[in-house]
Amino acid sequence: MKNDKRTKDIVNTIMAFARLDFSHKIPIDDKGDTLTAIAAGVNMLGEELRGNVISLKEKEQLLKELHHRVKNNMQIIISMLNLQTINEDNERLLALVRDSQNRISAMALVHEMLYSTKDFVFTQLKEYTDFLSTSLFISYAPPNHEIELELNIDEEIFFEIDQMIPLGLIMNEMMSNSLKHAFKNKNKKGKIKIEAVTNEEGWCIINYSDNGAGLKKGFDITKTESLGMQLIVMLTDQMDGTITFESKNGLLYQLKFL
Amino acid sequence: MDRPIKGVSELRTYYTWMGEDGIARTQVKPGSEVVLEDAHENSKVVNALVGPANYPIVIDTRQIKSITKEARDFFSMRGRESRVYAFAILVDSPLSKIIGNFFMGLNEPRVPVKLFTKEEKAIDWCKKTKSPTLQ
Repeated sequence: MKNDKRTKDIVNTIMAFARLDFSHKIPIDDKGDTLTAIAAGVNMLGEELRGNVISLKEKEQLLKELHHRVKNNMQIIISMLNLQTINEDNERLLALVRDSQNRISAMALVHEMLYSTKDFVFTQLKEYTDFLSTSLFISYAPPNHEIELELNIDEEIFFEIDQMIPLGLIMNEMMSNSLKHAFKNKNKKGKIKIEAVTNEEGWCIINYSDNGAGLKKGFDITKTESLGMQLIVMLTDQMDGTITFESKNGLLYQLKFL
Repeated sequence: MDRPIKGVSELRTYYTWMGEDGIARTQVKPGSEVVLEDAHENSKVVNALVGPANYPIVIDTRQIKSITKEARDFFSMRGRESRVYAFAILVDSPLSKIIGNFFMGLNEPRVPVKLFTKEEKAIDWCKKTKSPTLQ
């Protein structure tokens, strides 16, 4: 075989590897010269790369399957809670169960979104908030409500699961609280506004506000018995973030974390 | 590498024997394309050699043509027991050098491995490399 042909074979095989096509193999001749050695080296490299690519694909598949199963298991828990309360007419108990279901659902949503992504690692905050709010409006907003939702969330904000789960739960609590308690005054059009940006230092700042009833006079976050509020504080702490409240023309939270 | 007249096992792609110095030898036959079955077969013979409890081995790959990934992985000895505690690999042709370097660099054998172009130096290194059980 002429050297030109042998070199071309080597180059073509390397190009095939670059396309993750490892079916190519260069014939090893009996010349035993440098080109034969390079060809053998390229063949061995292809075998090693093939093994690594396969194991990477298997891991990706496994991760996808894992998120799918976690999400399905959470859905099963939600369904079981439904069955458990099917003959229940205690309104307070039903409300508690529904709150729990929505909390589980907020976590399941992260897993559901993760297995649909390419890398199974990052969740887009904007998309997540969109899905979460739709689900919470269905669950809590009164029929024929006139509550407007305004989302101004930077499309470039993504979080890994470690941050997205607590953040999702915090947003779930904020929005549930607004939908359940803020808009009892039917004469006023309700509005929920969520803004999220990252500043130059890398801090994510989420401003959440509603124009509802606001907090009760003398509200003390350290003494509240509201599980929702306690969760917001605890989860913010878990994220090493800070949260501030302001009750003026409704309620405003500012959540900051790195 | 000179083979003794007696005590040599001839396999499909290898000759294997125990040296009088307590160092095992295995020589790849000219133009051999080593596959997993050859690796299994050779390993079985090497582990059954009569001699010390553990020993180093000189592997003459100078006339090898190719070796599959499965065979390389097997020779790396990860996850299997062996009486061999060191590999001295003889190379000289460009092909054997590439294969030897690949084996050392990518298959990361569990035991000490060194490439040599001179048989005497390979044997010296084997003599100096102590069995882990004797250290």
